[in-house]
Amino acid sequence: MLKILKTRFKQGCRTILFPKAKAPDLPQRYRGRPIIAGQNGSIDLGKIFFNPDSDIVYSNDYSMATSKREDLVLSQEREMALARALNERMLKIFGRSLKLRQVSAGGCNACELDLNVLNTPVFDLSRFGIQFVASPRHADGIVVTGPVSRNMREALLKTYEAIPEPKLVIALGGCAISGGIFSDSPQASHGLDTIIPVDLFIPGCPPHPLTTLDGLLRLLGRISS
Amino acid sequence: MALLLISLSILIISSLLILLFCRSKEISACVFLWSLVAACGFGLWSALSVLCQKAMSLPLTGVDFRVHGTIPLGEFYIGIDALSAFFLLLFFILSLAAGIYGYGYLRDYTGQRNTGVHFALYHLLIIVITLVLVAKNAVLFLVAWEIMTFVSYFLITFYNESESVRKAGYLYLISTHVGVFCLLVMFLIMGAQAGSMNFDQMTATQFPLALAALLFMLAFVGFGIKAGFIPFHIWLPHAHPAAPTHISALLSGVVVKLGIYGLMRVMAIVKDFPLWCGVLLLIMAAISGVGGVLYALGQHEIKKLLAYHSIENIGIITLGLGIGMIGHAYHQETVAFIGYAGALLHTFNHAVFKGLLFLSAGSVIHCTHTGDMDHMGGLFKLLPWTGHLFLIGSLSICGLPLFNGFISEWLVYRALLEGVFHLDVFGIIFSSLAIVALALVGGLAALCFTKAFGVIFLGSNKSSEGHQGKEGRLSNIDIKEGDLMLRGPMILLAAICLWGGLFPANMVYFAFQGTQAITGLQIPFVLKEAVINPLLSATRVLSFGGVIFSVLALVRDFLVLHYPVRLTETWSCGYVKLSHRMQYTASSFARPILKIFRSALVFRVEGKISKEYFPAWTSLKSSVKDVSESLLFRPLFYVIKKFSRKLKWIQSGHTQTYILYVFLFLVILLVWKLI
Ligand code: SF4
Repeated sequence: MLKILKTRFKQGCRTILFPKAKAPDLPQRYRGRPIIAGQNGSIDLGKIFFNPDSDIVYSNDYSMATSKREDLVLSQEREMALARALNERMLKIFGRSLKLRQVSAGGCNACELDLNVLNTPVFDLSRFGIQFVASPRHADGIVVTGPVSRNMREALLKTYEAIPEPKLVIALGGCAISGGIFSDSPQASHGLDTIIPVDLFIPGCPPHPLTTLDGLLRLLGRISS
Repeated sequence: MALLLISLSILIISSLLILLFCRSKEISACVFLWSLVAACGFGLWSALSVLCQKAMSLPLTGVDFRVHGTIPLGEFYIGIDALSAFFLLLFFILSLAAGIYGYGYLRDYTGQRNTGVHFALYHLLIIVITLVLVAKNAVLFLVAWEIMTFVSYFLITFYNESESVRKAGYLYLISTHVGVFCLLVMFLIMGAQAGSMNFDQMTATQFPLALAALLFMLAFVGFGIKAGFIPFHIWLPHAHPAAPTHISALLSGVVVKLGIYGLMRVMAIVKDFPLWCGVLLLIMAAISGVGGVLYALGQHEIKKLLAYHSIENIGIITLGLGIGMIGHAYHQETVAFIGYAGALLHTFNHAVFKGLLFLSAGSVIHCTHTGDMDHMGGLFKLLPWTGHLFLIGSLSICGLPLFNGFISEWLVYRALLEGVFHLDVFGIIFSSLAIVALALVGGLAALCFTKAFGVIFLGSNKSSEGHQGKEGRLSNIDIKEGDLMLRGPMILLAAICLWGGLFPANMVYFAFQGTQAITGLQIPFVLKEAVINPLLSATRVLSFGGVIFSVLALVRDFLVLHYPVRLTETWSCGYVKLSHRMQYTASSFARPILKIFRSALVFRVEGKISKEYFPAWTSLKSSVKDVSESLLFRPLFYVIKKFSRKLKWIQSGHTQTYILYVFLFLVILLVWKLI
């Protein structure tokens, strides 16, 4: 234990100051929100895989979460509409304490891994009062990852059903938003919002922890653009 | 005394009337009901009038009734002292409640048997038990005791068409007869020493210590079999489930308690016992208490579970008795008084709450047609009255505050603590061990009743899966609450549980009156105050807490009123094929605890837990074997059976041979007389 304490002391506080201060610069090879200027047509953030060998040019901007599915579609004409805060009543309930249950509905597990990163000292999710809990009975909402395969569909619905009202639904990753790389499969469904109403879409494959954190905090009204 | 005689004569006349009219079900039942109410009313009145006397004169005089020379060696000599009165009080309350319940229970009975005979036997049982309690002559006592055994045998085997009921009845009959043998020897020794079979003379006699120890051992076995001490308890868990519900209530509430009464009577007669007798009693009490509750935890059958709880409570009562005896042997009267008072009060309380539990369990069985807890569940919504009454009974038996069990267990604890303060090293060791045992018993009892209540009343119904709707409601059997005849007695008993818990002063006072009769000493008034006052202030604080709690609960209910209630399925981790059998059962709830104690119990799990991902078929069965039954008595019976087979030739079955036996015996007697 002494050893742990010593290391702790030596390392000091590692938690980033975000959102009070600017988030640390992300490395050059990070592929964030695509740059739409100079492109023709539109880009659906929920459908792209953020892979390097496509002809999309990516910026370093991590904030991409939206409240509506159609806001994920970037086009020349429109500014990107990032996620808006919940209404007054919901904020009163969830603003300072939000318990989430995670449902992994058939994805590749990278999304879950990067969600897990939010619990590390660097991001320290619990300082915002957000926590992951074991039972939907204790939860205020669910975070769904993966394309909701046919076998997971009923389990997901049961989890959704089990959460007390009012509840939030967060779709994390391209799979959950649109079926992602599995969208051709007959086993996958095409977007969580075709099954249950979704309150927050966080695109990425997988989304960077900062993207997720930014989306959550926007939803709770902690960041306003 | 006159009141008691009135009550007895009502019972005798009405039982004859019932037999006269037993062809007509309505008339006999009606006579039964009203005579029962009248007789119990008079009986209660007589008991209370003795208990309420302010200053007891010692020894009690003026309340006796005797008819000289009616039985050889004995006479019809009865009298009520405070000890008898205390037991009469609990007996009449319980027989009233159980009788009314039995009336309601058997009213829509449509079988072959004549209920009139059953009712008459019930009255006869009341008469003989009353005689046992008030007898002041050993012969009368034994005769009444024997008749009581027989009458209760007939009452137990009401459903005698089933094999198991008959077997349970025989077991009861045989084991209590072994007890009577010891009692006979004991009373003969006492009588020889005192020169009379009357209790008064016996009380006045001084018994040498060695003889007292012998008498104690005889009483311990003789009355212990009736009371159901481990390891003499084997008849108890079989007889209770076999009997009709109101009889089990009476059996567990009163008949078993007569064993305790007998022990107390012997203590009142032979005052001074050697120290080890008390220690032995304390040890056996601890074993009965812990063993009883552990066996109860392993049961699936509700009445069997309650039967084992009777053993546990007998253990608690005997803890009080044991510490009382130890205190007496050390001449620490405070310890003795409080110990005896605790034992007496717990006897009363146990009779009340166990009666309540048996009656409500009977209602549950009546509705579901099964005694197996694993087929029940979710009955709280369907049987709200029974559910709440069972809950009150459970809270009382667990010894929780605001209910009567708390008060008597407090007294036993208090006596044990006094033992720690006032006795020498030896006594301190035993008192503190007894405290530990009592605490263990209390904790396990709470666990066991959490299990019983939860499995029976909470969750959703586990029986006949195909027939129930989404919320686990049975649609094929309609489960209905019983009418007032069934509910009324339970409400009465529950009210007494609450009254005893909230206003304990009267009952504690009565219990102290009883202890005066046991010890033959006047209790210093200061002691009564010193015990009752802290108890009163504690209950006052606790009831204040209870009031606050219920106000908060009401406020919560009021606030929640405005919110919509959403019913959803039980959360099952997303499992799709959820069934009503996926709940805690009686076995699975108790398993972790039983596993801890498996060195002391024979706890068996048969079948294997499947480790495959998609188990096709598996079965699991857990059971707790009664050690003293399967390891002690069954081998013993086996040996006896083998041995007696060798003697079978004596019983040839020819009348001539038997006449020859008689003749030979007469010749031997003649020859003996001539020499
Ligand atoms: S969105 Fe991408 S990273 Fe997330 S589960 Fe689907 S394939 Fe994996």
